Amino acid sequence: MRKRQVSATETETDVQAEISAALIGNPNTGKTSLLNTLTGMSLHVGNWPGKTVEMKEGSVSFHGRKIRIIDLPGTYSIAPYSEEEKVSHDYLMTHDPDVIIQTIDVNALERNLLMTMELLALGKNLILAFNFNKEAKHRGVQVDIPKLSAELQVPIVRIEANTGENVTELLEEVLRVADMKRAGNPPKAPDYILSLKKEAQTFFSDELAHARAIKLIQDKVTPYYKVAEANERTDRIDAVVLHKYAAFPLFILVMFLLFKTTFTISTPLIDLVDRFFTLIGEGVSLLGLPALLNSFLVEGIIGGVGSVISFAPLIFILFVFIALLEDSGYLGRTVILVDRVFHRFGISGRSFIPMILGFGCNVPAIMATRTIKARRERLIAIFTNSFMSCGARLPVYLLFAGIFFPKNAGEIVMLLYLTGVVMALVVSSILAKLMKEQGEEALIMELPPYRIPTAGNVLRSAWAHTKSFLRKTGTIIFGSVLIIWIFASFPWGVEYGAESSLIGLLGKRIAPLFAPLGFGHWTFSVALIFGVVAKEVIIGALGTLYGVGSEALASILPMYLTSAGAISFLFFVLLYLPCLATIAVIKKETNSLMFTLLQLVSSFSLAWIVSYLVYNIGMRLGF
Amino acid sequence: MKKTLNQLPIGHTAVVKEIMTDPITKERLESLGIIEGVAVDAIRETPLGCPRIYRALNTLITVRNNVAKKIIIEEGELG
Repeated sequence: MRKRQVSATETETDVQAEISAALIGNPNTGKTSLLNTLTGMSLHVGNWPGKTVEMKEGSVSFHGRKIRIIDLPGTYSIAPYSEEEKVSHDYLMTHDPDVIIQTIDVNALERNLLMTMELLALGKNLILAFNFNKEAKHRGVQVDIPKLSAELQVPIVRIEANTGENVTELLEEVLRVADMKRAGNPPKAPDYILSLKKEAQTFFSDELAHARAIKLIQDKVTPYYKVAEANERTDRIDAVVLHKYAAFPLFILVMFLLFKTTFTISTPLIDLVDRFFTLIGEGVSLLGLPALLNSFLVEGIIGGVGSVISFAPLIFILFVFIALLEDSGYLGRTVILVDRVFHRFGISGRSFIPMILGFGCNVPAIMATRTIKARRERLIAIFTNSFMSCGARLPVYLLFAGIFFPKNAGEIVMLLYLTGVVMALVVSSILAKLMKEQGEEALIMELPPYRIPTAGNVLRSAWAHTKSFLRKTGTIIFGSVLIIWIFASFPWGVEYGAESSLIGLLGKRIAPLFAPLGFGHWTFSVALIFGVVAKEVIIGALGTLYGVGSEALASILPMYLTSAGAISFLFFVLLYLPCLATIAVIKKETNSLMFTLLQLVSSFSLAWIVSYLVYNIGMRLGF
Repeated sequence: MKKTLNQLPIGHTAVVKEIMTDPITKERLESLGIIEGVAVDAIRETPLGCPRIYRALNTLITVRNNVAKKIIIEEGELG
């Protein structure tokens, strides 16, 4: 009696055990929509171990069973060439999920089935989720699902990922297939697969596999699938969007909106966040805590948290816009419009949007490199982004150029921006040569059909990116702000950041390094150290060091700088080091400390050389 | 003279005969649908002339001219 009970519980836990389902699919097949629909807000975003590719995981309860959904990157193939493909490939080789769900765009069925063949060849438990059926029907695509399913020997469920239609049926199928596997009789791999892998040593090394596979797919599919003629709507839109004369005005308008929306709409929100944290700081100061503790709490902790959170509105709004561009299908068009120009520098049109955003702020700009799918190009874009002169550097330019070159301030500022762009392109092309990799530069890209983005997907994507920023990058930024606080406040009793603080002492120590550049006075090196916290802080720091407000700097700075030294200083500010938040985001996005350090050392060296040249040329010219 | 994909006039269709790129580029082309034996339409040129847009297996694909130059095609009714 007792024994029986035990075994009954065992079977029960067995049945109750969590089911694992991996989600895979070509890009633009609605995989992310399906994931969102299935898991709602339970999504967890992380990095694949050792990779820059993001991993999403969530779970759903169905008929009292817990189904864990693992989201594999959207790829066209699982042959391990790109980083995304490697992630999928390695996962499938080392894990045996109960079920794999492949999302399929019925509109391009045959191409989607190529990856199905790869998955079947690996002997995986597959369910095909046919998506965009309504769109396909509207376009006149006809498909006989029961017959096709029998022919392919794979279960097929028709869904609408955006609206969640038929998702229950999909989950029923997941349970059925998983339970069959658990009961010891998983569906067998169809025998026709064998003909695809026959002569190959491994499935992936067979060069003929694709040609043979597509023939087999077409033989199987043709009787049950009628393709529509060309996709008229997309063709009609492309006729305008890629029109010889209309394309660029439209493109410039969209880019202008992207920039304006991101940096203008977010400004009041950022101010609000700033004011909120200042208020908390003031509140804490009223508590009458000991001075050290008070400064630690107000400038260190609250200031640190505040500077992290003030980025959140910026990143959220940016990724709303990017999701709109991506989900509508326009993002790919922006890439090909400008590709020819960037191709000359060894990169592609995909680098354009992050570069433009860099003029606003390098932090969201570097996060926007997530849209660059080629790993090598993404690293180059991250490396060079801080050369794009962000908004925080402008006040420094304006102040110095206004004091030293009141008649030509505008030209000086233009020259600085231009130098940044040229540096970014030149360094990109050098890195592209150094990192040359077979096949990477080809830019072979699908242009998805135009579709209307759904609010849910757009907001969820923006929130996921913001959350990953706050969690991962936030801690690094927060930690660095604390370190700066310590250096500026100790030895205890000095005025914050003054000559005798640790930063002041450090500044004095490194000042000789800048003498050949024309700004060897220690106040400048201290200001530059503070500039790493945020570039606009340079002005405030100089004010503090001279004990005056920033208006009085006009009369004081010329005592320490020649005009040639001033312009050399500006070139140095343009290039020398990214701010802490940018450094943190470089580290987070590349997942590599080596890469981050290399970026810092190269920027600093480059800045030194450029400023040296500028200073010496400036002196020759008599400034 | 062998005809290559970059020479296919806009609006015309051809069958891919041979892909002579490096293996990684070939793999990428194939997984998007540009496969030996498959019909490809030349759909559109971008304003700057490169890349061009093709359609294969009902998918729009952009390929730079320096890659399309290495894809040998056969035009005409009989593949």
